[in-house]
Amino acid sequence: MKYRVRHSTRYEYADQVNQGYNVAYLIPRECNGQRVNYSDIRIIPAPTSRIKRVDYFGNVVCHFTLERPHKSLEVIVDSEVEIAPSEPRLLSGGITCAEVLAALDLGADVEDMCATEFRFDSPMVAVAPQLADYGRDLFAPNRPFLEAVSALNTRIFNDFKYDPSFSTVATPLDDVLKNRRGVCQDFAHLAIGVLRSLGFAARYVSGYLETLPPPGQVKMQGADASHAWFAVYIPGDEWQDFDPTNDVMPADQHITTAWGRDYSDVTPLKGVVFGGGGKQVLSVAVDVARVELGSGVGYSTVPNTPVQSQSQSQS
Amino acid sequence: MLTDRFVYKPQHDQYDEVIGADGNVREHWHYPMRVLNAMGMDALLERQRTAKRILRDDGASYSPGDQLNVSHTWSLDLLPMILSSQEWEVIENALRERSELLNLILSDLYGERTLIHNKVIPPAAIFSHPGFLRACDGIRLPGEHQLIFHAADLVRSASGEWLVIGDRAQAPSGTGYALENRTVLRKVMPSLFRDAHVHRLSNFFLQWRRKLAELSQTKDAPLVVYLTQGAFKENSFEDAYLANYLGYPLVQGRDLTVRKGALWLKSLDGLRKVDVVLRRIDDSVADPVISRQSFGQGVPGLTEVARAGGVIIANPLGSGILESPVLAKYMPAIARHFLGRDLRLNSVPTWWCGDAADLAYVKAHFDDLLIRHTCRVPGRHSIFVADLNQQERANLLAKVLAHPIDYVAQSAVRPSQTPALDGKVFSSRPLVMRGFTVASGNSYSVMPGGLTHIGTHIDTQHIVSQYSGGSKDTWILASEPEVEDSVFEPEKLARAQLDRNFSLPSRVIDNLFWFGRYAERAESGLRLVRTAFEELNSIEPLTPDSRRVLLCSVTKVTGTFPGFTAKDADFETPEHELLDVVSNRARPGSIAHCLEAILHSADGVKELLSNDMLRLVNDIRDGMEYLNKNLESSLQAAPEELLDPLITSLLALCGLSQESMVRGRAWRFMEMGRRLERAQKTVELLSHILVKDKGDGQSVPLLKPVLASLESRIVYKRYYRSGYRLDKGMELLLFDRQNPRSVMFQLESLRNHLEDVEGPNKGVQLSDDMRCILRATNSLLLTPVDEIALRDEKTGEHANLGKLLTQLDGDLKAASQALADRYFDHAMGPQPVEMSGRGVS
Repeated sequence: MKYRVRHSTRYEYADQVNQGYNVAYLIPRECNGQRVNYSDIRIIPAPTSRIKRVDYFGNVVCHFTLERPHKSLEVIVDSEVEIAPSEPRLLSGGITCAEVLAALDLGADVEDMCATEFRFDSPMVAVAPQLADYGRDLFAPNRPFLEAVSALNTRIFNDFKYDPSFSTVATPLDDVLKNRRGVCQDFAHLAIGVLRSLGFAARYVSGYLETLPPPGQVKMQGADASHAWFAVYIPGDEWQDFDPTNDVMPADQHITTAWGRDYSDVTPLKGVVFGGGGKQVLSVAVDVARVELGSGVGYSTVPNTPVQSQSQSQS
Repeated sequence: MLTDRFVYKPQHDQYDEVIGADGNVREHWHYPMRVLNAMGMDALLERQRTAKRILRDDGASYSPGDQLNVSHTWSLDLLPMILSSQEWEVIENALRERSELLNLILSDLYGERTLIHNKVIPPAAIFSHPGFLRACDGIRLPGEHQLIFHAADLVRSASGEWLVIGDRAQAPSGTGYALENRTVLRKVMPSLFRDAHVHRLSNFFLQWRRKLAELSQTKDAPLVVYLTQGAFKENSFEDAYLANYLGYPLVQGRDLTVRKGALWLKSLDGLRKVDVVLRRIDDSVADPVISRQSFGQGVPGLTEVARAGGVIIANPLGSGILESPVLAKYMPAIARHFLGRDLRLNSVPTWWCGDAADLAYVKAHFDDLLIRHTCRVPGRHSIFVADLNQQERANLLAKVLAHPIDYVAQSAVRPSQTPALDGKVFSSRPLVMRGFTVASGNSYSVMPGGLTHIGTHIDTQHIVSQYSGGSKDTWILASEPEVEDSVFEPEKLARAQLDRNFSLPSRVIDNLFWFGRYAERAESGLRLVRTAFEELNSIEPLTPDSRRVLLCSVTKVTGTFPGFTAKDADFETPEHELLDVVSNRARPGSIAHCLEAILHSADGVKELLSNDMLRLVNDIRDGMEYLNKNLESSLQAAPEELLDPLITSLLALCGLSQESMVRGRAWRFMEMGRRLERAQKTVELLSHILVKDKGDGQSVPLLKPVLASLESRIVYKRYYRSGYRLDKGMELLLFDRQNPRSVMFQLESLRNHLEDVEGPNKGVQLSDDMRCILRATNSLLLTPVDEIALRDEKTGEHANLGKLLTQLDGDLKAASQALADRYFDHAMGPQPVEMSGRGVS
């Protein structure tokens, strides 16, 4: 499946910003089943310096600085990616939970050893007894590991209410667990926390999801959003993605941007500014459009449809 | 041998540094003991006092917290820690080897990570540690060395073997204190030092400078800056002291900025490119773009500039991972991995609770062990389980079991002991010695000496965590005398001469300006309060009205509202309020508040003040404590006398700034602060007291306290011999350019300073600050003195004087603002922005 993704972020400052130092994880990475045909990043105003490099986790990261006064910042990324649908996995067979733990402890090959990186506390996800308790019954030693993870994925989907008004970027996992609500980032962190608390290796995946309009309606521009889910490591095999927000195993509708231990490793866009007056208005618009064979235009444009975008002010 | 006079009998089972197992004095202590005995106890005590005084005068201190006035004077025991050259050779080689090994580890962890891939270190030990900074992956310094500075804490076990109990690899502190210890001991024990053939320390610091210059991309006069967290941190004395000794500008994060792929120092002359950063701040606060902990500190963008090679940071960011005590357990294996052989210097036996077998051991022997967190954080100390009660032990064990990978246990080594002067006797104290290395050639140079810490009493094991026990100079005996080198190489010196105003950060100028202002403000405030006291107790009491005016002026000039301007102000017994204006620290505008501000500004520019000035700053610190202690009790009798010593210290500070500071820009800014403040305070005082003075015809009675408060009464009486007449008074206080207290005098010196500071870069147009000063000068020059002495017929007030003073006041304030706008850096600190919102699908 071929997609075009446009992710635009606009930041308006209350006051002039004299300098800004930014880090962007907005360029999709090449990975299993995903090929990036192109990915262009445009920054307005033009940055003074701009460096693209591959980071510790293999993601493409872009560092840029703005050294002239400005009152707004716009970052627009246009990418085209192709995703080969993955073979559906058999959840019921394969390696058991106990075998996974043993293999991780042993670290027999390099892959297993590198995966252990994702077993420990990270800046936003700390292992805790209550997290282990939430999922322990699902991970019986002899149960096939993937079946258990899938059950956890479903449990989170059923137990938690999707509620963008509840949490912020900084809401502790504990609050999410207690109140049983949050957004995709919280659910991914939650699953990761449960898995790590039980000794498994789990990582955070940041990216996009193609959303389809209700039957009979036309999809609106900007209606998509950046998305997050998690992946678990299966020793001797590879990483498998799970999306607890939608109770699915991503096949060919999830576009991967970057992965890390948690959100803080792959925050799509963050920075430090001098000036700015402390108040900012952020607007983010994401479009994920299928590129039909023979069609140059990704999404159906309908005249007079207002552009919808999510905006959220941060403190 | 010890004579009767010096009795030191080790009262312990541990190794003793002075007395051997046979009860005899060790050979390398024979000579020092002879000298000490010849000296006698009284002389020794006298020198101990001298040493204490020097340390206090040098401002040698360490601050346990962030409190402004809490800093403990560094404590130095007169008896050095002495090591023979044979013994030292072993330690030196071992330290060198350890630094080499840590260098390889650092290089590997942020590079290929063979240690992990080859299972030399369990991945968890690194991956779980917050000191492993993934953002620093792949950053490399040019040359072989990734680790430039290293320090190791050593203890000697009962068998006489030295063991490493910890490594410092970010910004190892202690070299400055070691240097100060040496300087002081040499001063107070010159003969002992001279003939003992002690290895000198200066070559080690020369190597610091060489290495940092070598790292720079610019070979011609590279700019090396000394980056600290700033005043009021534990080691701020050491930072100022070392930066001065090494000749590097002392800077804070806000003095630096990342632009155009390089790092720049914001100096008075604009931006100057920095080649090398001598980093004395922790990894976790160095770059707010990378780490959330560091807001308010650090330099945004530093990490990426370092990655691109735009600046060299030594030690490189991320080196904190080397401080993890887990590495101690794996050191032998790492040595075999990299060097193919065993280590010369062992670490103290260490068990990592993240290892199942080790954890079992720790559980079984818990009570005998020292428990350490793997991550060093201020305020988090190692714990000797034996010191805890049953409940505390259980709690600690539970904590360890909940997060075993975060803890190590070490065997509680009983450190060797050494005599220390304790009252009039010597008593045994345990010691920890910190050794230092710096990259050199293809290996490391080891400081021939170190920093020895001793415990507060004989059986303590807490030494490093509490500096309170004191320290010792550390002597390595040479077989023959050495030639001393200067820390500066001759050809470098020549270049330093060219750069006299070298790159003062704008912040420093700002601090000096305020240092000058606050010193003057405190002085004028103190004088005014003193004058008020004198008038209250005078044999010729003021009329109630005048008394009111005088007291209200105290409130107005100091800005301690409501004070005497309050509705229910007590004019009958104003002493209490007056004392509060002096001593209430929490009250903005109070004298104590000003003094704190002086101390604060002085701490920010320590490296520019001479030793004598620092001594006076310390006197002020002491003076404040004295004031606080004695104020209440002396309410009855002549409280004004209590203020005299402080006024004297402030005057001395002022005098010294004239005599001991180079007339460079730094000094000029301090002077401008002082002059502006004096002019403003004089104008304020005159307008609050004299404009409305109804007086009795010709004489203006309140002129007397005004003159007294402005230090011009004696001169007035000598000049005029008349009563207190306004025109004469104003002549002296406003116009007389010979009177260093007159407003005209201040304006003229401000003009000189401004011209000089501007230097050759002066434009055709006048600057705003100069314009204000000239306007004020002209107003004065063009006003006939007779006119301002006239009273308004209707109100009886001195309206013309009032008008003139209002205008002067406005011009002076505008001048101050214009100066600040022009020269000081008022950029707001960095703000974090999370620009992405969240995934909201």
